[in-house]
Amino acid sequence: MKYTAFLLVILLGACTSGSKDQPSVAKAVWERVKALGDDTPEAEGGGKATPTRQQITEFNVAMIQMNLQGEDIYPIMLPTHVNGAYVVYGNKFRQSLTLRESQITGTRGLGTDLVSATSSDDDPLKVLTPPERWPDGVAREYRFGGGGPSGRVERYDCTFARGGDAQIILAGTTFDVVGFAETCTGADGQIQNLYAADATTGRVWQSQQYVGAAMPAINLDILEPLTQ
Amino acid sequence: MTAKSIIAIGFSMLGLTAQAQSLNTYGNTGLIDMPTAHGMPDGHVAFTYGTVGNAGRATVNFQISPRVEGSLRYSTIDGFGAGNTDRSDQQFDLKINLLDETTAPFALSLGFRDFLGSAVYSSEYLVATKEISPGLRITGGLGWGRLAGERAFGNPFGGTRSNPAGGAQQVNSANFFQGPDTGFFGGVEWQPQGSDWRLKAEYSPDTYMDEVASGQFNRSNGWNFGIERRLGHGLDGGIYWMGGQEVGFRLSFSADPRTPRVPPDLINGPPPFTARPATAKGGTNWVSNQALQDQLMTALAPAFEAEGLSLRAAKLEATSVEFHLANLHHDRAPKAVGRAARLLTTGMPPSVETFHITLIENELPTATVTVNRSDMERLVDTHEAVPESWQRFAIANAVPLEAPTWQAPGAGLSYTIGPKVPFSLFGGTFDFDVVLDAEATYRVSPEFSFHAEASQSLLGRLQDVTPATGPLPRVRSSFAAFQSDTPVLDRLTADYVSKLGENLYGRASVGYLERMFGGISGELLWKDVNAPLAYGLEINYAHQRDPGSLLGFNGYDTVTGHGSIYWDTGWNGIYAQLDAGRYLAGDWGATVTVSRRFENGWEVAGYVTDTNADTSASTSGSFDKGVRLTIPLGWTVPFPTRRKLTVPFSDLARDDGARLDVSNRLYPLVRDVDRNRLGDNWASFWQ
Repeated sequence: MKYTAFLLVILLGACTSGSKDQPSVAKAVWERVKALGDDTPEAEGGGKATPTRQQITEFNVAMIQMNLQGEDIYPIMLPTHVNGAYVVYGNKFRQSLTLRESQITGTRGLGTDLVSATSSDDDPLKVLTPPERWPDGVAREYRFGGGGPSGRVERYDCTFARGGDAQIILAGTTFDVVGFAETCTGADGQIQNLYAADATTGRVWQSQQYVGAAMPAINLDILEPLTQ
Repeated sequence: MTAKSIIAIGFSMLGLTAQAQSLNTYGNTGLIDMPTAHGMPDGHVAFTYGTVGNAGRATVNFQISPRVEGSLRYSTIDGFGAGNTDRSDQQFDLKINLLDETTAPFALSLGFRDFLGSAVYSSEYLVATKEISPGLRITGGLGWGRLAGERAFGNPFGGTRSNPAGGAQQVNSANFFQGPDTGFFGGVEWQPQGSDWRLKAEYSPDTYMDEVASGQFNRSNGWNFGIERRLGHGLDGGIYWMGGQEVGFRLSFSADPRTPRVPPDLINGPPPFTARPATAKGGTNWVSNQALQDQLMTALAPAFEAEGLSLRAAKLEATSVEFHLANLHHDRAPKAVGRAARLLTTGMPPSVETFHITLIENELPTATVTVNRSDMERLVDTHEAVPESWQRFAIANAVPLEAPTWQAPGAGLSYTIGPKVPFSLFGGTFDFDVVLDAEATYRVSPEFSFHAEASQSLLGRLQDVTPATGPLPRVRSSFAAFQSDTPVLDRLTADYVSKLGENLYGRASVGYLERMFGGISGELLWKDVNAPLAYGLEINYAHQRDPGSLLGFNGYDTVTGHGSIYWDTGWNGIYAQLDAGRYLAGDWGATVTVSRRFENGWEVAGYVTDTNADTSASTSGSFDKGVRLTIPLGWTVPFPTRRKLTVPFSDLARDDGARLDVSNRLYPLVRDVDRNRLGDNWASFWQ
């Protein structure tokens, strides 16, 4: 009797009726197991699969592709909400990135949320700035959960270092870009962001951005920017 | 992106805390037997079982604050003194960091080992530690008491140490820095960078005099050597060669409450936000159209359910709406409020400008958050959203909804089946059981319900303990008689809970209140969501159940009750609670509980109870004490849940200071939804 019941405990974890205030742990696990078969084409077998430029044009919608540094998963995200300069891109897994132009100002559902972020008014990530006019540096601020009514805030002073010129190909389109490395220091340590900025407009087509110490950096491709 | 892949990410990110500091066989931050001046990161919790020869030590170690480390230990010594007696003891340790190596040339700490207990390990020390190169640390210190077994020099403070007779437990402050001698200890530890292996060597002045005198322990010198390894998943262990004669082992599990084992927000983003178009007309005819309202609520209720919220009642008006919702699985209450507000931005007609969202806990309305829809539309996704919404959204005491437009059916059956792990500390010994617990509640109305709970012991390890004896009625020392190999009816009660006023909650329960007592229990709680203090009053008539029959009672009955003050200090998550009154055995006294609660639901609580009972015959000491650890399940599983595992380290068979184990006390039900707790995690409103 005892050992049968003990096995039940192991198997069930904890089981709850649907009508009580606590959801069933077993049910939640089962929902996840059921979802395992719900594959999407872009993720079959991992690896980066990107729509063609023709497909993007046909879709006629803004589109980004992201990747958590070190993971072999490259979800495509589409705009779900716009509030002024802030655009939320999401997927069907309730995961989203909030962008201000090319700056990631928020993440949801990817692991540990970056609640919000901001930077100096002249930040070339959020105000299109040709590479030759990029400032020497900017200030950045990141807000995370916990830490009281204002959240836990990390502040950094950042400097840009211009790299070489290069070409990148996104969804079959070639862009002439200038590389920038950004080094930021603050009380919470040092972080680094990398940008590939359009050689003419300064739009950051490709970047690797910090979204919190509990998360890997996010690699971001702007496949089609939102134009309002 | 597949769910499989997402889960893979979640598990690949099982964050393990970098553990720069290591533990000793006492479970303190230290070398092998000796302490170091370092502490664990703030809030760190570690469980250690260490053995040295004939001694076993089980320790819960908690970094109470960045500079204060506390430990509760249960130790056994198989052979002590010339009489070769066996000992079981409890001890408390405290270490205070005076200098931090980041701001001073070396770290310096003052420590008190077994300062509250039977003094078997009583000692004080002043210790310095310096990291002389990455991974290489040296430690040196001066010790008193047991740490002056081998004399370095005469004690400048002089005095004598007098340990309590018979192993009774007490505050050993009279012994602090006393004794004829001062000892020296020191050592070195080396953990190559990037390696999981660690080497340690130390010199210990502890001669293990009484252990050696028993003939059960051998010691040739004061040198100890060890090799340790970080095993992963918070486990860390070591093996030691002690004093040239004995072998020691240590196994520790440590965790940082603030570093969840799984990412807390994985695949749990918010529903889409919908802003009203600038051209929205804002007509209000819908208010007088009952069919339209019914249609609206029929659509909203399942949407809330899918979002982890159970809609209990709603009141719809032209420009404002009020929704009463039970938070089913969000571990952070502001997140539940935020999710509800987002759904309302989609579901409510444009004329509605104000959302009053009330969280219900166990059918009790707790706090109402008033959300201005225009503010939300303006702030969503912006960097100013968190601080500005905290300023602009009001938090008020909730009251039951009068004349609701829509109300969920009141009646319903719910049940839960799950494991529990009771720990028991009888007179210093340490044991535990695993119990399969089943609960069912039939709710007749939101206020009135019937509740039943039964359990089956799976290990039966708590049936064989020998309880302490004393002159008091055997209210808890008959604990073993209430254990069984077969299922036991723990509770069978009729319960009434209600919000009696804006700040006043009430509860009445009658029936089999717990496994050992039945009776009647009544409670009132005054709690304002905007005030740090709350006040409670509980009165019970309790009749001891007959362990030999399913529903019978035996001859002992009593009236017991307490007045309580609850204080949320607002500092570092520290809560304090004072309960004063008459305990189950008729003794009068008070219990002081101090706990530290983390934003994610972890809680470490310590309590002390002292009553007027005659405890002179008790080897467990003149007062009761214990530790309670609460771990949220959401910290370890990749989906949101409010479930928590509470592990009490307490003496379950002690008669003095015993209280009824009523299942639905009011303060724990409502304390998570007030201004301070909402503020702790306010950012999650937008998550």
